[in-house]
This record gives sequence, structure tokens and C-alpha cells, in this order.
Amino acid sequence: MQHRPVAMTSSETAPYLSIEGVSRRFTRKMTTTQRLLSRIGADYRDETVHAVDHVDLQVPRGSVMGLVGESGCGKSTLGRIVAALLSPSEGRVRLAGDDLESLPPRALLRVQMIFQNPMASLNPRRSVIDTITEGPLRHGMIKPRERQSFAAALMDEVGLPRDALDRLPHQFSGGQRQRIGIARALSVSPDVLICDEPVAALDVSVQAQILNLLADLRQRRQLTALFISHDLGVVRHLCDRVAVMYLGRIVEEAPTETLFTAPRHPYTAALLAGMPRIRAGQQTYAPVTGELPSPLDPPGGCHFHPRCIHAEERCRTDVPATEKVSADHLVRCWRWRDMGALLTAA
Amino acid sequence: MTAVMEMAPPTITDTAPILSVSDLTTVFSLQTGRAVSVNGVSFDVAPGEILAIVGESGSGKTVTGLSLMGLVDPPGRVEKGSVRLRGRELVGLQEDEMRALRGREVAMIFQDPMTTLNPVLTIGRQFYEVMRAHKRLTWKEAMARAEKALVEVGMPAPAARLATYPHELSGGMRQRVCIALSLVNAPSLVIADEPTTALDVTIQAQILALMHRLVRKTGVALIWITHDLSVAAGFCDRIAVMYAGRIVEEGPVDAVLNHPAHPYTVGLLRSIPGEVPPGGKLEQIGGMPPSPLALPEGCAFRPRCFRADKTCLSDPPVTPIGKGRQVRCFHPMGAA
Repeated sequence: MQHRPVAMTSSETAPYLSIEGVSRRFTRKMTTTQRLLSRIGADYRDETVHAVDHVDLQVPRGSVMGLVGESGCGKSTLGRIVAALLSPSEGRVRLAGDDLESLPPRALLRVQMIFQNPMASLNPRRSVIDTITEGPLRHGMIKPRERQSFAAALMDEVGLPRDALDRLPHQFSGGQRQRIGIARALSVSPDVLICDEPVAALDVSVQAQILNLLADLRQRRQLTALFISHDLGVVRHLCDRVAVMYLGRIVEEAPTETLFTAPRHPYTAALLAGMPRIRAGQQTYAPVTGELPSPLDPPGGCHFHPRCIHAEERCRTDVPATEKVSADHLVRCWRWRDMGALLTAA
Repeated sequence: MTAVMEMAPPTITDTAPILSVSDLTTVFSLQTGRAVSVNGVSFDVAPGEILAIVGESGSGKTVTGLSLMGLVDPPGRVEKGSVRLRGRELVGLQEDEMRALRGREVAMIFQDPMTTLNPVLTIGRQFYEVMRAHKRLTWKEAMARAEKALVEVGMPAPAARLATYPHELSGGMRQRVCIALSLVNAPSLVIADEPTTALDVTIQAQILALMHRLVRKTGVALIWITHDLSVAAGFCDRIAVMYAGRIVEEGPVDAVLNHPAHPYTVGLLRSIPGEVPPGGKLEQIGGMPPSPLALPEGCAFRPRCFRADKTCLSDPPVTPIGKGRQVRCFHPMGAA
């Protein structure tokens, strides 16, 4: 993918959030014993996982980028890097043109995160008002005497009763807890939200409530968001663009409708085929075979080739470059030109 | 002959249900009161049929499954009702009689294979235990059958897998082991409780395709408990929608999903993303499900229902609508 030049002014067209060549490696070093044994020829090495491998993504202001992929593909790691909870091994993340690493800690408040499991991400011993006012108080965004009214307004915004301010997380239902998590994220007035599977743990009727809330907030607060999910239906509903990740690499990125109706990467097509649908009637699943390979020892060439029925020789040896199907549709597959016909035929 | 093919063929006439449940009621006597988790549930499952029990958290779908297996522990108990498996009444059986059935006549597959499998025993050992519980056979015979069972579920290198421990397998492979274990004694009924919820979508599709093939091939009856209507849609023959301990609607899967009769089913379907135009508002069912400790009078869905009126203050009867369909509602949507 070409690095698009990033304008230093936040004009309408420039990406607000820009992920540029970001990689993250995790290394498990050998123990001392293993190190000694390896000197005399034993088969021990430092083990390195490329959790995120040269990812480029641009998210324009006010738009929602979906990030989908299976467990272990690196989507959460990427989310954490964008939220500055992890630093990238290579590359950088820019926010309105500024490198995230160079920003003072207070400026990082502009990026907030919503987590999957609100019971694990809320302090069980702190009341709601403490949870949602800690950030703004600590950073001097509100005065102590404004605390009550600030919290009440925030409760209204996320659809929680004001009289619940003094309750503890366990006194709420799962959906309400997720609303508290959202209120906490909003409390410091961020302009970027990283949502890491925010509705995966919720029942479908509650999930609908939270998705509607997120859609409202996005409108009202002009939020830019990275929405990480394994649920393609949710992503299709909420996101403007979608990026598909496989073993640390983005394999396809396109406007949501294009990705769902005319995918060019066989992995995207496999994900769509595996997606259960209500209206399809009795489905005969013809699932893609195999599983996500170990990221410790990823297959060479295109990571997807061992599971791909369309793979040919160069897919095993050479890493495909990111190419443009159209101005806003990027794909990383050697055979993307053939895929239009092959995937519709399948 | 593979292990799975040795399964009891459905000898009784095809129309006779393998499992017949009527008025099953399971209550938990808690300090805070009496919680009615399963409230007069009735349904049948035929050989080679897949019945989906769909509902949200707390709707009683899991307790229904556990009640069928006789696995409800105090303070819970099956208060009344009947569960007949191939004509034999299971409610009221002694624990040792029930034990003789579990794993042989009825088997269960759970959501999380890591907690189902014993982490300190090899896969082979676990097969041996499941088989030895019901039949005398040697280790060698058991391993031969276990290997065949693993072949049936599409496990690569099955012989080598028998010597491995559960933690050495991926989530999808562990669930394949659980499926093979559940089928190895050729049961006539398998109850699967959210078996694909923890799996990725491509692996889920693999497991669904596998189960579908095995059910059709062996004629085992399958109860698939899930919260995911779209999984049920593509996979099951019939569907039973549960709400607050009751089956509110039951019927062939296409009929129920294309022409839902109960307002709760309608609400559930409308709240699924992907079923409305992207970016649009998802419909929400107002309010929350009632606590099983304090069920509302009459229809439990009444406080959240857009069609409710005074008649709903009394208990709606099970009303047949159309072929093989029934609904528990005074004001069903225009029935197909």
C-alpha cells in the first residue's frame, strides 16, 4: 500500500487517524538453560510472533473503520497500538497528523477504548460516578463541584438512570455495564474511539440497544472509530469501511458494501460464506478447510495459501503486494484479477 | 464400519419421536424465593432431526438441556412433567439408572471444550473411559474405535491425536473431540449447548457442516441450544423460541423465521444487524426480561409486548397454527 501523504492540517479529506506501516512483534526469549543448550546445537531459538505485520490504514474524520478477522489475527493488538496502550515495533500512528508517540500524555485522552467484557474492565469496588468522573477530574477538565451534574449529563447521554450513579458495577445488567464502559470512554471527550468487540458478550436484543447507542453517539459527537469485531453482521451495520485481517496482515480493505457484495480476497469470501444468515434458509456450509496457522511459524508467501483452493505456485513463495482493485478497494492477493469471476462462480 | 456408523439405526417408525417432553418444569428454591427456570415446556424430537432451542441469557434453554440429562443439582429440581426417551420415562429415575443412560443413550456437548475435557488425561484415555463406562472392551479395541470416531469428525492424523492432551489442540479441534466422544457410544439423542459460540466463524461453519452430515448419516436426534437465531436458521429443521422459561413459539425453521407469530420472535428478528438496511436503526425490545423469581402474571412477555392488552393478564394457552406450528400468545401476528 502506498503511504498517502498526510496533510498536517486536518482538512476534510485527510485521514484523521492514520496507521502507517505499523508492526508489532512479541518475542519469547530462550531461558538461560535453553541458550546454553542451543550453543551446543540443541534446537532452541527465540520465538517471535508477528502479531501485526506492516499495517497501513487511514480513517477519515467522523468515519468508522471495521476491523474483522479470526481470533489471533492481531486485530486486538492493532487496536491497542492505536489506543497507545502498546507501542509499535515499527511504523507510527498519526492522529490529525501528529505522531502518537510524540504527543504529551494528556493529548492521548483524545483516543479512548471500549472493551469487550465490561465486568472485567470496570473496577468492581468503584461506584459509577467514581468511574466516569475519575478521568475528567484527574485531568482538570471539570471542577470537583461540577462532578455531580457532569456525571448526570453523561448518564443521560448513554441512557442510564441518573439515580444509579452511586451503584456498583455488579448491580447492573450486561448491557447497562457496557453503557458505563461507554460513558467512561466519553467522559474525557475523545474524538477517536477504539471499540474492541463491544457487543460480543451481549444478547441480541441488548446488542441492538448498544449498537443504536454507538450510532447515535457517533453522529452527535462526530467520533472517528476503529470497530474491532468478529461479527460480520454487526460490522456491516455500523461501519463505513472494513479491513479484513489474517495473521497480522490486512488482506482486503474496501467500503462496506463493496466488501460484502464483491470481495476480491478468497479469505474474505470464506468469512462471508461461513457467516450464518437468517434469510438464506437451510444453508449448506461449504466451509474453508483448516484453521488459522500458528503465528509462531506462519506459512511463507501469502499466509492464507494452505487454506486457499485458488492458490498457485507463487502464492506459496512470494508475499503478495497490496493492489488497488479500484480507488478505494485494496486487496492483497496474487490472483485478485481472477477472483471476481472465481468467487461469484463458487 | 466406523464407530459412528454402528449407531443404533432408527428402528422404530420414523414418525415416532425419540424424545418426548411434556410439561417439564424445573425450579430452583433459593433463599430469595422460588425461581421457575423452566415453566411447562413440551416438545418432541424425531430421529435424524435437529431441533434448535433458541433464547437469550436466562431464558431457561440451558436448564432445559440439563433437566433432560437429569443434571440439575440442588437447590434446583425437576418439579413436574415427563421426559420420555424412546418410550422410557426419565423423570424420577434413580441416579445409577440415569448414569447408565448418560453417555450411552443421551450425550451432551458443551460450549467450552476445554472445561469438558479432562486436562490431565490424553484424548485416547478419555475415549477409553467413555466407552468402558458402558461396555467391557480392551484398550486396543477402544483405541481402534476412538480412531475411527476421530476420522468421522475430520480430525487430521487421528492416531497421533490419541496420545495428545487437550491443551495441545486448537479450540475447533477440541470441539471435534467432544463431538466424537459424544457419538462414540451411538446415542439416540445428543444435546448440544452452544457448542460453536466460542469458535471463529470459519471454524463454526466447519462444525455446523460436520454435525449436519453426522446427524443425517446416523439418524441421531439432535437438540441444538443456541442464542444465535442465524445459526439455527441455516442448520436446524425445527426451532423452539424460549422466553422466561416457556417455549413461546415452535415450528419448522423456515416458517417461524419467515412468518414469526409471537411478538417476541418478531422483536428478536428485527434486532439482528444485517436484517435491516446498514446504518439504519435497529429495533429494540423495550425493557428487560423478567426475573425468574418474579414472573409477571399471565404472559411473561406482556410488559414488553406491543400487542398486549387485558387478555394477556391470563396465561396464554399453546395454540396450534398451521402445520407443525404452535404459539403461546393471545394475539399472534397474522399466522401463515
